[in-house]
Amino acid sequence: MPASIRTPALVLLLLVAAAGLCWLLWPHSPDQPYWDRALLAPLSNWTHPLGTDAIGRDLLARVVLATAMSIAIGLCAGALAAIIGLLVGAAAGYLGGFVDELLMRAVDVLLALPLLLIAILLLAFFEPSLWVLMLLVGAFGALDVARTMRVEARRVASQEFVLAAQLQGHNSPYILTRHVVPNLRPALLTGISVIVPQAILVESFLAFLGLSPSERIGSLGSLLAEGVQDMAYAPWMLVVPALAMGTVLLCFGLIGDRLRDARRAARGDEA
Amino acid sequence: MSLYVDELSVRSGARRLAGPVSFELAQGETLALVGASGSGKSLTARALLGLLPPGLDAQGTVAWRGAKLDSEADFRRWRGAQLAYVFQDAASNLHPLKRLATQLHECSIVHRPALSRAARYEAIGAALAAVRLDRSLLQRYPHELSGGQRQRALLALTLLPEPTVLIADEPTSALDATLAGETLDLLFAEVRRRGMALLLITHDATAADRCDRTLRLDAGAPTSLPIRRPRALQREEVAIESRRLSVVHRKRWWRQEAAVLERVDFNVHRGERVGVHGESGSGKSTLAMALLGLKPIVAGDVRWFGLAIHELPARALRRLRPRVQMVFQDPYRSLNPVQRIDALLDEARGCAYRSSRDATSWLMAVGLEVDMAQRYPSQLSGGQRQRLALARALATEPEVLICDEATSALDAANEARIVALIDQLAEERELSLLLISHSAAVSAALCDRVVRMAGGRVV
Repeated sequence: MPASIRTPALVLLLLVAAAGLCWLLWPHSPDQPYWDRALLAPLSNWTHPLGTDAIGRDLLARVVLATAMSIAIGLCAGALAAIIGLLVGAAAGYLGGFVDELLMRAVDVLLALPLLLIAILLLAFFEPSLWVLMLLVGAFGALDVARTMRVEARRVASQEFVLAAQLQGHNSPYILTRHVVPNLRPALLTGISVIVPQAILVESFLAFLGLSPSERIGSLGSLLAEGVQDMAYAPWMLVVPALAMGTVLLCFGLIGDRLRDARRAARGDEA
Repeated sequence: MSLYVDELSVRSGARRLAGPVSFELAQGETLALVGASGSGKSLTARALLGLLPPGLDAQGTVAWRGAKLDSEADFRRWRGAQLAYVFQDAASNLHPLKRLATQLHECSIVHRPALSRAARYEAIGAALAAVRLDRSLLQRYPHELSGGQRQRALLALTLLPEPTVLIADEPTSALDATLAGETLDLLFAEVRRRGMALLLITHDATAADRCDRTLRLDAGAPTSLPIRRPRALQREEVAIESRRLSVVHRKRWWRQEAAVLERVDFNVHRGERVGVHGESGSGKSTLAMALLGLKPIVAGDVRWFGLAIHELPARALRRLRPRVQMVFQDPYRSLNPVQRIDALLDEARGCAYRSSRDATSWLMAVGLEVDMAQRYPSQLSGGQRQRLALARALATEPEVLICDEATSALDAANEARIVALIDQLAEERELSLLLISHSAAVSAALCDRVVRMAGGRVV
C-alpha cells in the first residue's frame, strides 16, 4: 500500500470498526425508541452523546451503523463493478475484433440509459431490496470500468510480451489471466476507487427519495432524509450524518486520487 | 600542474557508465576528449566539477593545484571561478527571463565581489569584446539573440570570472558549420591569450586536432563486429518456409486494405542463418509475423518442418509453437513488467517439448547474474533485458529463432555482445536463424546469406 493512502484507509477502517463495537457494546440499539427522551441535543445528555431523534432513537448508534452500511454498499457495488468490468473490458481489449465491437457497443447502449431513472422505476415497481439496488449500481459502475479496462488491456496486449506468450503456445484464457490481467491491477484499483463513492452517492440519493430499503439500520441517505424534515428544530440530525457522509466520500476520493498519482508516476518511470 | 585526474569513473549503482579515465592538464595546455556518443564524455566532464545528476556517483581522484576535490564545498569553491564549464546548449543554459546585461552583472558580482562599479563595467565590456559581441546586445533577452550570439554570450559569461581551466562540452555542436568554426576560433584565441587550460569535449575530429593532445574514451567493449564466413549446409531439410505468401493489412475487421506482402517465397533450411534486409515498410516484420502464424494470411502458405501451419488445428499449432521462437526489437515491451525473472524463465521452460535447463543455468548461459532471478525486468538495463529476452526464447528449446531488429535498440557495445551471444548459442544448439536487421554489419556477422525485401516482395 502506498504510504499516502494510509491515512484515509485508516479512517475508513476506524469507521467500520466503530460500527462493530457499537453493535456489540453500545447500550442503545439504533432502532430502539425512548419516547421520554425525544429530540435531545448533542452533548446535553451523557447517555446519548450525539443526541436523539424525534422518537428518541440514539443518533450515535444510528449514524455509526448507517455509515458502515453506506461503506458496505459502496464496496459491494464496487467489487461487483470491478469483476464484471474487468471480465468484459479485458476480453474486449485483448481479443479485439468482433468480440470487442460486440461488447463495447453493448456497453455504449447501456451507458446511454439514465441510471437514476431506471433505478427509480425498478425500485418503485418492485419490492425495494438492498440487493437489487447494489446489483443496479454495480452494473452501471461496471460499464465505466469496462471501458477503462478495455483501453488498458489494448495497451498491454500491444506489447510484445503478449506475443511472446502466444509464441510459447499458450491459449488465450491463459494469456489473459497470467499476462494481461496482472498488468491491469493498478488501473482497476483506480477504477474501483471512483465507483465506490459514486455508488454510495447514488444509494444515498435514492434513500433520500425514500426509494432505498431503509430497513432497521438504513444508510446515511435515509438519515439525511429524516434530518431534512426536522432541520428547523433539530439541526444536528442533518449535520451529523452529513459530516459522516462527507468524511466517507473524502476518504474514498483521496484514496482514488493518490492511487491515480502513484500509477501515473509508475508509468512515467517506465517511459 | 593544475588539474589532475586519476582513474575517474562514473557509476550508477554497480553499473559503470563512463571511464575510468586518467589525465593531467597543465596551465596553457589544451586536451580534447573524444569518443562515440554514449562513451561517457559528458558524464566524465560533469564528474570533474561535481555536477553529476542525482543517482550517479563518481569514483577516483580529481585534484586541483595539488588539493583533492571531493566534497560539494570543495567544488563550489572553484567551480565557475577557476574551473569553468561551457555547456553544449546555450539556449537552455542562459536565463530566459533576464537580459544579457543582468546575467553578466550577476555573474560578476558573485565571483568578483570586490570590484568597483567602473571596473565591473570594464570587465563586462572586455568579456564581450573577447567574444566579439556588440555592446548593443546587452539589453536583449536570450531569445532575441541568434544561436551563434547565444553561444558567444554563454562563453562571455564563463570567461567573466577569469577562470584558469575551461571545460567546453561540445560547445559548437548545436551550431551550423560556419558558425561552429568561428566560435571555435574565438574559443582557442581566448584560451591562448589568457593562457588558460582547455578540456574540449567533442566528436568533431578537426576540432580535436587543434588541441595539443587527444584522449579517447571508449565504452570498453569491441564495437566492430566480426564477419561470418558462409558455410555449406549440412542438411537440405527446410525448417521454415513460405510459398507465394500474401498478407494484407486490415485496420478494422470489416474493411480490407493494402497488400503488405505479395507472393513471397522464402525459406530457411535447418541450421541455416538467413538475414532479411530492406527499408522500413518493406514488409520485413510482417514477414516475420506471418511466418510465425501471428498475422492472418490471404494466400499462399507457411510451413514449419514441412507442416502447413494454417491447416493445423489450433491445439496442434500451439504444441508446435515452442519450436519456433522470436526475439523482439524493444526489450522494454517484450518482458512482462509484473512477472519476476525466474517465473518468466520457468514459464518458457515449461513449454519446451524436450527438457530444458533450469532458470539459473539459462541466466548464466546468456551472461546474466544468477541472483537476478529474484528481480523484475524493470530492474535491468536495456542490454540485460535483451539477454533475458534471448534466454526466454531459447528456454523453450526452439529449432528456429527469429530476431526482429533484436540489437537495434542497443548501443554499439551491447549490440556487439548480443550478436556474439546469439552467434555462440545458435552454434551450440544448431539453430536455424532468421535475422531481420537494417544493419549490414549485424547480418554479415551472423548470417550465411542475406535476402533483400522491397515493397512487400523478396527481390
